[in-house]
Amino acid sequence: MIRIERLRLDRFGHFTDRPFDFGARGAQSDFHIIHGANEAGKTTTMEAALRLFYGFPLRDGYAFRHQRANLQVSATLDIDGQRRAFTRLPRRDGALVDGHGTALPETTLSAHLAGLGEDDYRQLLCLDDATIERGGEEIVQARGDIGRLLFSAAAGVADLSTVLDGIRQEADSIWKKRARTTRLADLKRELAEIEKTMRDRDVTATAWRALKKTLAEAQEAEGAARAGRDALQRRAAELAAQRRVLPMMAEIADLDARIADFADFPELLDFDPDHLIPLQSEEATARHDRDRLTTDIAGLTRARDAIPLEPDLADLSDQLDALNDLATRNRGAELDLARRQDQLRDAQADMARAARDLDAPQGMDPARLVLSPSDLVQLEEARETLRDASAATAAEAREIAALTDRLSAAQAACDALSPGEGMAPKVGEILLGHDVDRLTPALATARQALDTAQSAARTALRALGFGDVAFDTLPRLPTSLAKAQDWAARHTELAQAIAATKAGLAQHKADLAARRARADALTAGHTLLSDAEAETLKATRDRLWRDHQAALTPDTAQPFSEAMGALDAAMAARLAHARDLGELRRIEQDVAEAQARVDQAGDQLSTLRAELAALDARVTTATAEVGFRDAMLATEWRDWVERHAQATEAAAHLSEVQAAHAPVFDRAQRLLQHLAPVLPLDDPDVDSAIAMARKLAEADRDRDTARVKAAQTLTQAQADLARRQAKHKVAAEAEAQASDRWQSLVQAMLGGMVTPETLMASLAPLRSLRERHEVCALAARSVATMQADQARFADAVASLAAAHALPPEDDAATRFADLRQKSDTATAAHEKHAELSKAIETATETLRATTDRLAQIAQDVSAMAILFPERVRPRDLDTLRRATGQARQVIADRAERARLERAVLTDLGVTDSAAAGVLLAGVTTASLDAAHETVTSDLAQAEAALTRATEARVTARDGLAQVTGGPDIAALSERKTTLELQLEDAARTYLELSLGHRLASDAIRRYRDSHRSGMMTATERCFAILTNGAYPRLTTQADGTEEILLAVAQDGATKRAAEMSKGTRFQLYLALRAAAHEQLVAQGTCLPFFCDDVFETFDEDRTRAAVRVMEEIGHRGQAIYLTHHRHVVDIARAVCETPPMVHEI
Amino acid sequence: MIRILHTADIHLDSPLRSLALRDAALRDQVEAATRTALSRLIDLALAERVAAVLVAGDLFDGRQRSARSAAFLMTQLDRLGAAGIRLFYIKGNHDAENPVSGMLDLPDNVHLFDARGGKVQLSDTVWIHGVSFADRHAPDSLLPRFSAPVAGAVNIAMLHTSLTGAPGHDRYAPCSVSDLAGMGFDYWALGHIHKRQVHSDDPWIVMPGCPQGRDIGEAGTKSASLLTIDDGRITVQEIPSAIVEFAPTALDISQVDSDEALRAALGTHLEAARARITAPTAVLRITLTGTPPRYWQILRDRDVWQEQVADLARMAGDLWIDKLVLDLAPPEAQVDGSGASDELRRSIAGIAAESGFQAAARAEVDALLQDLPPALRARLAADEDAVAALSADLARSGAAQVLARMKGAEG
Repeated sequence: MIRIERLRLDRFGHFTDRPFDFGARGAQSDFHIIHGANEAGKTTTMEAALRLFYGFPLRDGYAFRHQRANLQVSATLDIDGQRRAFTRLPRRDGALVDGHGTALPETTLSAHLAGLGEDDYRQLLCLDDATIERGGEEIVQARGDIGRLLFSAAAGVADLSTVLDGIRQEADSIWKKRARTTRLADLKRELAEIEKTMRDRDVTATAWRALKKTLAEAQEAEGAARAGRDALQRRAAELAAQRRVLPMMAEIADLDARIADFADFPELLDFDPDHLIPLQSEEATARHDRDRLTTDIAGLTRARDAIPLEPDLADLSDQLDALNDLATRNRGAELDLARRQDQLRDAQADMARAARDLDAPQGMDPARLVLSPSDLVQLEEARETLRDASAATAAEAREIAALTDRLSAAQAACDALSPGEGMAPKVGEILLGHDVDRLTPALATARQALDTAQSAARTALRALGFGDVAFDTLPRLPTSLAKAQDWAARHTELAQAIAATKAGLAQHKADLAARRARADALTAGHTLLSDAEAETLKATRDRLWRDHQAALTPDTAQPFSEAMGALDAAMAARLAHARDLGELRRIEQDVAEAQARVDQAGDQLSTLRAELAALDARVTTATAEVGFRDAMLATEWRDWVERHAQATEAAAHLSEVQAAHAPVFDRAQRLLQHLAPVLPLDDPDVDSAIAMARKLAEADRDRDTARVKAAQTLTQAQADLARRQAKHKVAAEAEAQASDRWQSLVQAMLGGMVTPETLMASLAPLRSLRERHEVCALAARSVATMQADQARFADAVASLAAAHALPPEDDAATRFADLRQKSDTATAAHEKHAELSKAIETATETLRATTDRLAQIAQDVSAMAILFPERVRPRDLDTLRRATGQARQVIADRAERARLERAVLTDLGVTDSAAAGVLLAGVTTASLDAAHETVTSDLAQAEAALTRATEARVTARDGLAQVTGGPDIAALSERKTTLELQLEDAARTYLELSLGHRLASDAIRRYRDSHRSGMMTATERCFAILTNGAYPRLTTQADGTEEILLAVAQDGATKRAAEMSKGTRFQLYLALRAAAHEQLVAQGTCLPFFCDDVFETFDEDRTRAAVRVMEEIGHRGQAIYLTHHRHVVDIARAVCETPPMVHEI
Repeated sequence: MIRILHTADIHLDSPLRSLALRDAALRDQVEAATRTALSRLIDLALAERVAAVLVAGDLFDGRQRSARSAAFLMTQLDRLGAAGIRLFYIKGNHDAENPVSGMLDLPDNVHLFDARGGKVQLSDTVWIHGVSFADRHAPDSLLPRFSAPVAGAVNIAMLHTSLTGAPGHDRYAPCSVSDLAGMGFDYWALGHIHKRQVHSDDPWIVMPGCPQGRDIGEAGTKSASLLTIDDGRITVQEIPSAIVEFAPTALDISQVDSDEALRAALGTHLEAARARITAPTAVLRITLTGTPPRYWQILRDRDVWQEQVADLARMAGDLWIDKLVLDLAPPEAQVDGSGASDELRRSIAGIAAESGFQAAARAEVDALLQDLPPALRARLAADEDAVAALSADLARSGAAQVLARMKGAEG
């Protein structure tokens, strides 16, 4: 047994030196509550106790403020009555020390922990809301199986069914008979696929042997077929050769005959015979050229010598070329001089006309009126300036006239809108003074609120009517709303209780009748001896025994023996019917219980009905006070009182609304009083008065606006007229300045010969004078130049004529042409003479070369002719050509014969012509054709046979080549082996799980059988407390090999645990755990029991019950409840016989 | 000086057997590991320019009869042939059983000794002797079939034998080490036992072991032997050959009192295991032993720990977990408690011992076995006694598992 007396969190979590004093164990319940806010450290305290027992984990979640190395928890423990101090340190060695710091062996503490590991401790002795929730769920998962529930609670395995069902599911997922989707089935399928693939792809030793044999046979067959085919091909070739050489042999014979007479002809010509033809042609051409050249040279010489030569006239040509330009100008003057003189006269006449147009004085030289271009431009600018200034002055004058008209019109309009008299300003001021823009919406809001409140008050009053009674004002309320509600609730409760009691009474009566019937049935056969009869027999036997014991005679012995026998027989009979007897006793007990329930239910029904009648009377009194003549139910009265409250509230609300909006209505009334006298309306209301006033004010505003606008227009027109008059004055001044400049310029340039007014109309005559004056000057210069050129030309020609002794002539141009002709004739004669001399020289040279070439040709012919025998030796080119042709034919025939002989020997495969002759002796073309046909046929067959053999060999080779050394089959084999291992592994895993599950299930059933009575009793007691007696008993019902837990309600009704509400299941699980704790203590394991806020989901009644359970646990051992709920503390203090010790954090 | 590589028991294309291979990542690494081991040995032979490779039986596996294995082997033999390296091969019991081995068109560089025995000269001074199994069983000694060693030369003899017997191996071609030593050969190139053992170094009697272990039963470093013959003297070097090593390990966690501590202990344990293992990859079977304070929680969270160990193993570097075996017991203080759970545990133990439960358990086991492929059925429980033993064993562990889940349901 371990009990914590003092616990000290030296350094743990956020605590430093935090003590908890649980005190010494007393006679009362050892129930403690550790209370503190969330995160205050309640769970930390529990964890600290567990660290003390089991040490610090390597990574401690509570080492956040203090490092793990500094964590420390101390405690004073009561171990089997002895007080001992321990300190737990985070060390690997010496982690447990006593109060003096002396290291203690771990067994000092662990020996008293009943063999529980830390996880075991947490499962068994630390309860939290999550565990309770899982436990409640387990009740559903286990389908109420009592075996699982008891073991689950006793072992602290809250989700036992999840574990067991999970194992079963896992096993079933590996293998299930005839199932196709298990792991084993998948693996088998995969294995079968791999085996099939291996069968399809692999080549066995036998198949391999067959493939090799087939290849060898195919190779041999192919070799034989190839040899046969080759032999036939050779024979066919021989026949073909003989067929080819037969005509060649005939050709050889013909050639031999043709060359027989030319044996002394050369074997080879060492010149090109084709060269003879151009040579012959060249010789003929040379001979013809030689004769033609001789004739040409004589003719040319004669012609040259006949030409006369004049050197002086030939030299005149250069002098005449020097006069060419002058001659040309002379010719131009002759053609243009008269036209230029006419042009000069016309221009002078035009100038005289222009002077007249300008009204110049008669007789004056018009050239005096010619002005320079710049003067003309100045005159033009001055005239334009004067014209612009005059136009501007006129425009300004027009504008002044228009503005004067506009001013008159504006003045008239302004005069027309004189200010009038009206009411409008007064109305507008009244509206503004009462802030009518804000008053209007406020007035609308007030009216709406008032209407709504009045409507609600009227509706509420109407709702108070009942029967023929209605109310105009609120009636007085005789009772309070709370009392009415209380009466209604009580009325409902009483009605329900009466109905339930009636039903219960009927059920109890039925039970009573049924049990009596069963008792009658059991005793109907009179086979059962009642207890009283048995007691009588026993008393008789005892009495007779005492008699016999005193007398010890046969007389006393006999009756005693008979009595003994009767008792034995009766006991034997009772023993034989013990089961019926027991049943009868139970039924009789049940009958008594049922009768009691019937009586109790009857009494209860009477009481309830009386109470209901009294309640109805109180309601009737209250309704009469209000004035209702009809009776009301308590619920109706409650509803009426509630409606009365609503009507009261509506009336109050109406008053509030009226008070709240009264100022608005007052302001509206005051406005009406001010407006009424000034409006053309009889007795207007507020809305019509405001509307009329607004309309009048609007008209006044429009009139004022028009008047202001007319005044603004008049002012603008006056300003515009003044500005325009100023501009007109400036323009008139500018016009005067321009006129002065114009007058002075005309005077300065023309000196009074022309007036400004004449020029103002047009400057064109001045421009014309300027242009015609330039034409006059140009024409006069041309006439003078032409006359000078004519004079110089005549002098030059006369000079040349005199030099060559020609008579002078009037027309210089004619003389110049005559001189030119004579000079040209003399020059032509000189050129012809030189040309003929050159031609004679060239012809003479050509004649010499031609003569040399003819000699060379004759020499070459002699050299070629020497190759031929004397008897046919040629002397000239013609004979040489003929002999050469003959020789070429002979040489060609000889070559052809040699070629044919080589072909024959090659085709026949012999070395000389004699052998060929022997071979072909008797051979004819016909015999060869016949043999060839036979061989061709045989060869086709042989080829086909070879093709087949080759195909067979290739097929066999390919087949064998398929057998590669690739690793695919080895890999598949390896995969197959792995799959077999996986299958084996899966089978083992399945069997492990399935057999383990079977063993555990059997063992849990046995656990149930051996612990049912003890744990069920404890659970029943605890559950009754927790449910406040709603379920006073627990029982079981067989279901196959399982037993299902049933809770028996107060009224005897049963409910399966799995069908309970969630909260009730939590209570049942808590009861099971409390029972398990009781069993644990009974087995000698008494250790502190921790509960971490497990009542969070409990309502107040359940919490009351639960703290009593904790108190009961505290009677057996130390019970520590951790909570942050103050009400739990208060409830515990209120309901526990011994209030728990509360430790505040 | 010449070099010779000696190996045996390759069991080509025999699959690895481990649940760790459920993980595709491991499968990708170690798929067809016996092939890889053979390829690596051929690589070594080429790199060391050995004169010959000796295969002392069980080149093939008895059950793997795919022609693809032969095709792969031929490519490897061709590699040796291209380098002018000869291979000497005797058939073991698995080769004799496997029809593929009899159908090989062995290249010229390969010499297969027949069951009558024979000898072949490798070089001027080295002769190779060998005798093959004629059948899958060889109940009698094969030593009489060896011809006498060639005088004045180094004589190497190849024999597939269980010697005088070894656990896990049938008795084949029995003979003793002293019998072999008395035959006058300089080096006995043995095969059959999958664990390496050098029985003698004068003369050399060497069982090289299989080059690649295939399951946890063939644990440990796997290797071949590289012989160097110089001036008539033989030296032997062990050459690691496995790409994945199987390793059973155990860890006592009696003092481990928290999950963090257990994780740390497992991490340390796995790192130590990684340091010991030479193969690039390893598959571990870890057995946790002892009486940990958190016995029930560990049992309950078996799946979680299996995953955590797998994660820790991968973090340690290419370690994979075949199985996490919990060979644990509750601490003494938790055994005889008086609580409901303890009572339930005792009750379960009692029920498990009752004949009624045992009959029901056997029936359940039988029903499941009937739904398994026949080969697997036989492996799980070959006969009635095995069914009884299996059901008792699984009921015991299953009950512990269920109790653990109850105990730890809220822990």
